[in-house]
Amino acid sequence: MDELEQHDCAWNDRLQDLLDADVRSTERAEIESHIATCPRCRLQYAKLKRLDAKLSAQIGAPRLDAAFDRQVFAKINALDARRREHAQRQAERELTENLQALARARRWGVVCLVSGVVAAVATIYAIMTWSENVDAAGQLFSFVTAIGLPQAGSLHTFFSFLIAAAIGGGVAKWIADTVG
Amino acid sequence: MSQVAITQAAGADTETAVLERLGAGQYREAFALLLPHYRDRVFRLCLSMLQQRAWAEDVCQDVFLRIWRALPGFAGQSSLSTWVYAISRNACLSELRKRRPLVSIDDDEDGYHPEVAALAIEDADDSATVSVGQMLEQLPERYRQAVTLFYMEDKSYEQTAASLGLPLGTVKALLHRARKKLIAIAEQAA
Repeated sequence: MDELEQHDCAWNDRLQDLLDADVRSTERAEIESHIATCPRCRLQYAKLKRLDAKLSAQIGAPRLDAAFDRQVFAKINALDARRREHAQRQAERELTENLQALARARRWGVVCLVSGVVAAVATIYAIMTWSENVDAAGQLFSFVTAIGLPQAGSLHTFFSFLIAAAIGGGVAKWIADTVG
Repeated sequence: MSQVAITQAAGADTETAVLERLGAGQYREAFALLLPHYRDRVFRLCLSMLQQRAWAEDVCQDVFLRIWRALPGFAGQSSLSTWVYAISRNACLSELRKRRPLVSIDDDEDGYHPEVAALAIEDADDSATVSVGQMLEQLPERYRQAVTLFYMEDKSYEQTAASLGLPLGTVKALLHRARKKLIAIAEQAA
């Protein structure tokens, strides 16, 4: 870099700062006095001023009119309408799915209940038949009387129902877990 | 009070008002405050990057739709202006990426864009050997953006830096180099 180029580089920024009024008053005086004595910087500053005037005149500050705001709001309204429509469709779809799931659960509930009841009845029948054959009820009543507990007339039936309900419930749960 | 200081104060007021509305969940009211304040600034930024008015207007609309969608998520992590300009720059960059191959195919061989020349419109100097639009077209993109936006923004370094998301010193350096290059281009053409 020769001496002149170095000079130009050193002053280019300062000349442009002066052009943009981006200097303190002391700097301004210094730059202006340099321009007064340096023909290269005087010429360069004149070129910068011409360019600045040309750019200022030809590059305006473009603005958008109020129609732009209306267009943006119209698009936003359309966007919101689409969003609302989408949300409504989704809510309807979820409601339908929930109702279908509820109906399925009810159907399975009925199936499980019926299966449980059938299993319970079958079990009661089996227990009663077995207890009559082995006189299990007579032995149980004798044991209850021997240990001094109050004798319940329907103890036989009560235990049969208890066992049957447990088995029936177990069967219903098994069906619900396995098939449902 | 200087024009820049007035603008900054108005910007701070707008930001406060917008944040208050957002805090209250009043998104439409917040947007209605934001739009007129940033409309022209975003448009100028788009125009400085895209160089075509119609294109810049379309992208500017897209920018405000993006802002509308993102507004509920804005929690003041950065200043509102930084956020708005970042969305604007991203929208312009993604548009440029989409369209750039088409632009280069359709360009004149000398790289002259009538739309760029149209930036210099009413007061075109007939005696000039080369128009401002043609001169700007010969600048590297970063220089062109900086110089165009600087003059569009009434020669405000602060506003130009904010729009471009660059430090003030970088904008000054870009502008100084751009002017120097423009003088060289003009002398070469003369």
